Amino acid sequence: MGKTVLLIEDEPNIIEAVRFILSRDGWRVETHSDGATAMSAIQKIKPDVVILDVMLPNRSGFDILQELRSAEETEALPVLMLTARGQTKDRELAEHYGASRFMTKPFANSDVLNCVRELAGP
Amino acid sequence: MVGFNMLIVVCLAYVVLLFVIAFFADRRAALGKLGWLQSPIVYTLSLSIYCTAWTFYGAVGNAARSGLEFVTIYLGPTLVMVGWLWIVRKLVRIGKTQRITSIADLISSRYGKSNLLGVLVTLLAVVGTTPYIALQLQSVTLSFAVFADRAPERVSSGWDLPDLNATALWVAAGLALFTVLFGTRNLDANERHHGVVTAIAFEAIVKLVALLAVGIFVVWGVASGPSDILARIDASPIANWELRPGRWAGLIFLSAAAFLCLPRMFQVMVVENTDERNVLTASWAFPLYLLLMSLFVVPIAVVGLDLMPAGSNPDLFVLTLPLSQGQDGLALLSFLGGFSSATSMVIVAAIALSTMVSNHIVMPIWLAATTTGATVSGDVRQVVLMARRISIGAVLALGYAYFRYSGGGTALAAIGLISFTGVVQVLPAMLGGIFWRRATRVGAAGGLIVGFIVWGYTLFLPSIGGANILPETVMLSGPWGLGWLRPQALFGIAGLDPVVHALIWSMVLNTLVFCLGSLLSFPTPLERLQGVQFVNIFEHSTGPRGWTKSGVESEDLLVMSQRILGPEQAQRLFQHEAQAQGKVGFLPDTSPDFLELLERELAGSVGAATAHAMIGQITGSARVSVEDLLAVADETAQILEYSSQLEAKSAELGRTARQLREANEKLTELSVQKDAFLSQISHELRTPMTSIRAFSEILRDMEGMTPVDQRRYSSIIHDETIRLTRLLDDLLDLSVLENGQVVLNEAPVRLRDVIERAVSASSQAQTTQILKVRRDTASEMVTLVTDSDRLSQVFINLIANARKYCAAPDPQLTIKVRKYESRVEVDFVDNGQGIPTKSQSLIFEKFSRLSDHAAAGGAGLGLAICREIMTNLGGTIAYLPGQGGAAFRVSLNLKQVV
Amino acid sequence: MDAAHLLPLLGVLLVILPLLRNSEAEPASTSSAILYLFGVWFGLVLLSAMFSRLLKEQNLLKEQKELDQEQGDAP
Repeated sequence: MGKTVLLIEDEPNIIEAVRFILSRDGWRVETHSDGATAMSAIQKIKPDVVILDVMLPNRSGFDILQELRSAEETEALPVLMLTARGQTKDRELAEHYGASRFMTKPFANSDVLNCVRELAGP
Repeated sequence: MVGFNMLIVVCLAYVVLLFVIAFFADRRAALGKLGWLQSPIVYTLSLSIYCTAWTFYGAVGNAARSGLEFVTIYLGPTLVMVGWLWIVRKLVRIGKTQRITSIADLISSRYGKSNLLGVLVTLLAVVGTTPYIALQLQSVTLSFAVFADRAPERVSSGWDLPDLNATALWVAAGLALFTVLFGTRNLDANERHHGVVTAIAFEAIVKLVALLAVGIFVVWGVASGPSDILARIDASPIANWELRPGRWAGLIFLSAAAFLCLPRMFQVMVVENTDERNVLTASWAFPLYLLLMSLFVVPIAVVGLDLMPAGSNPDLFVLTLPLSQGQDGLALLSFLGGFSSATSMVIVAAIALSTMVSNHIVMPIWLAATTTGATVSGDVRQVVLMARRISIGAVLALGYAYFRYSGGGTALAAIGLISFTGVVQVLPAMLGGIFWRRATRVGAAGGLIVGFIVWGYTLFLPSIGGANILPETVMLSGPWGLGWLRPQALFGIAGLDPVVHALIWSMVLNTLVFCLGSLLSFPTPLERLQGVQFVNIFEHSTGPRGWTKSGVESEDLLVMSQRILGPEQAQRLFQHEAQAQGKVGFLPDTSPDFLELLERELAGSVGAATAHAMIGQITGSARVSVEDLLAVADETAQILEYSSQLEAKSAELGRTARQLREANEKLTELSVQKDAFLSQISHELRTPMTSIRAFSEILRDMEGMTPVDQRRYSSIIHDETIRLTRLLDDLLDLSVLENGQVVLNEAPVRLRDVIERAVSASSQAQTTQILKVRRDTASEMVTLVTDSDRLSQVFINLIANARKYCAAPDPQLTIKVRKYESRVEVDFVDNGQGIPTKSQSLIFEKFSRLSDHAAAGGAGLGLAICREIMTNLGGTIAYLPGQGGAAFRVSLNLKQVV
Repeated sequence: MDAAHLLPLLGVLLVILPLLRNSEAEPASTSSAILYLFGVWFGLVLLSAMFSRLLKEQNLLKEQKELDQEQGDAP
């Protein structure tokens, strides 16, 4: 295996939980918690899957997603959006901007794991 | 025999008494217990500074030399006061509505807030008053000398006579100290010098009692009653006096005019006037006072001439007569009377002159020198106060220098009338200004200058002359041999009394130039506006305005006003105006009305011209619009009435529209906020729940976990649960507070303890940032009845906010406590960058966190809770703009401790 | 009110009066001049006091009337 997941999220406890869940399954987990510099982190790490929170400091997750989709090399990058706001409007926005998957907090650990596995593909 | 040392002791004791009286009157006024401080009696007595030492001692001397002529000096003011409906009433009303600070300010303000005129009148006043102050110093030293001459110390031990110049110096220094202490407490002309006025009212009683006592002693103690005195009068040399018609009429006119124009009289009559109705009482009480002051003058003169050795100075009979009869106590009383006359005149004159010098000379220079760009910088109040203090010292120093230079001889005795003639040069500009709309700045300045020159040439210079200034040949045959230019016989009209000659020519030429200048020049718009407001003061007190709509930020104005009026008064003014406009907070709209009001408030402190210039600098426009001019041109009362009704209606409509617009804006913003609120609350609840769910699943599903990991994950779950609970607590707290269901545990508590608790509680909460808290614990010793837990909750919140958001490199929070009659205010001011004006009205709403949430670490409920708590405690919390950093004011009513 | 306006004019007339005396007439004694002047003076004080009382009452009356009117206007 050895595939890489980049988690962009600012709550330390949530980072720790996701890292625990994924790394036990054999994923390499990188994290980043600032919205403004998230793009360069993605370009540097070149992850196989990105988990992206919506409410990030300095820059919204939707904004980052939009930029990802407009660049050629990250156009097809699998992105799992996470949000704590839980409004239907957020789901619509996520679809509109081209998120691969969308998930509301709090989530079941197994759902996250399965989702990442699916997104990473065979 | 009264010893010289004893005289000094009595004198000092008397001065201490004056300080005490002034101090207590100021205290009373500060506590708001004005009561008798503004009674008509105090007002009337304060007018008595008209009777200086020159009249106290000199009247008797005058009577001894020229019989009844001395009463002219009192008849003038009597006629003015009896005829108060003509002029005095108008002056007082104008002084009040235009917040006039001095006679120079009156003239400057009337003629388009011209600083040139302010400077001219100020110079005239200084030149005219300085010799008069010297005269007072001389009279005090002379009266000292009377006692010193006869002092036992001198006879027995052969000590030297105490140096009289030193006496004058000490008196001048003492007066300067008194005037600085009680005359420059505050800036605003509206905040009167209660201490000074009360002290001079007391002195007025002393001088009246002293003169009456000497008179009664003379009539019933020396002579045997009124009929005897009348017989003695007819038998005395005084009976041979001749009535000189020119002097009689001239001096009555001169004293009447001087009564209106003397800077010190204007100060007590107009500036210090607390209530217009006081003039009603003074209209008869002051003439009565003058009558009593002069009732015994002739008897004292007659008996003095009778009993005193030939060649004794009749100017000092009031003192020497009782002394020669062995009545030392009476002589001492009379000495104090003379002392009172001198000191009260000097004190008020110094205050009046220093106000003029600081407002019309120092401030304009200072403004021109320090202003960079659009606003003024620094604490203007301190500058003005300092300028006044220095001016007071300078005025007294000038007086003393004049006293020394003139040698204190007979030259001084004549200076009273000369000085009067100088200051009445303001009369045409003043009367023209309040009765004649067409009078202009050019006319006023021309008249003043011409009058001043004629006065200087025909009277002032010849009086101090000697050969140095005006050579004998000039006096006799005119300059360059031009006979018609002889100083005391202009245009060849010789044989007039010098004072009358100078009075007539200066007044005639002054008035002529004033009228011609006014007719030939064209008034500026601002002059017209002011002219209408002054002349028609009773018809419409709210005249057309001088400011048109401008886009100035009221926060800039607040910053400037705070520097001049002081923070408290400026904030009160702005808050009040905002309320009147139907707004909350401290920032009213900068409507023309408000600018006008503000300018007038500032004028009360720094004079009309400076205030106008300052506001002009900030608003960037000193223009008067065409509409305003039309308003001036509207002559008929009907149109004025109609337009003022329309104006009132449109102002009302404007206010309503503004309120509606604001309400609408607020609603829109609130609805946006409500959506945001739902997202926010969802986010705030789900975030901790995410961690809790994730870790509990981990604990449930994973086997073989180390106890260390287990403990760690459990504690994360625990922490996040607490976070959730706290959020729910805050929400519940807020809803309880909002519904008014809160139970308050009110008890007497000391503010210091509450602040203490809040400071220590909030410093435990977070230690990442070092916030320096500056306090003044002495001011915090206020006991109030309130719920101390709730109050400290508010304080903790404010301190925690400063800790979180103050981004200064060296963060500081200043806590200021101010106590009022029924209220206490606690200000929390930090040195960060503050809150932008557009957000200031939102910060007290729920979930209105301005920056991103990670830094805040709370849900944005803190200030909303604070506001609700304060409402429940019967107080308020508000954002205080214009303080440099973020500033909050907590204001609480002081409930009585039961 | 109008009469009060005239008071100072009366005062001026009375204190200027001695000037109009025929210079050839027997000069009045100083004591009688004193009595005359102080008499005029005191008279002015009395009249002025009287007017000020009257004006005060008038003002009070006016204020009272305005007050009544305001109350009358209220429903």
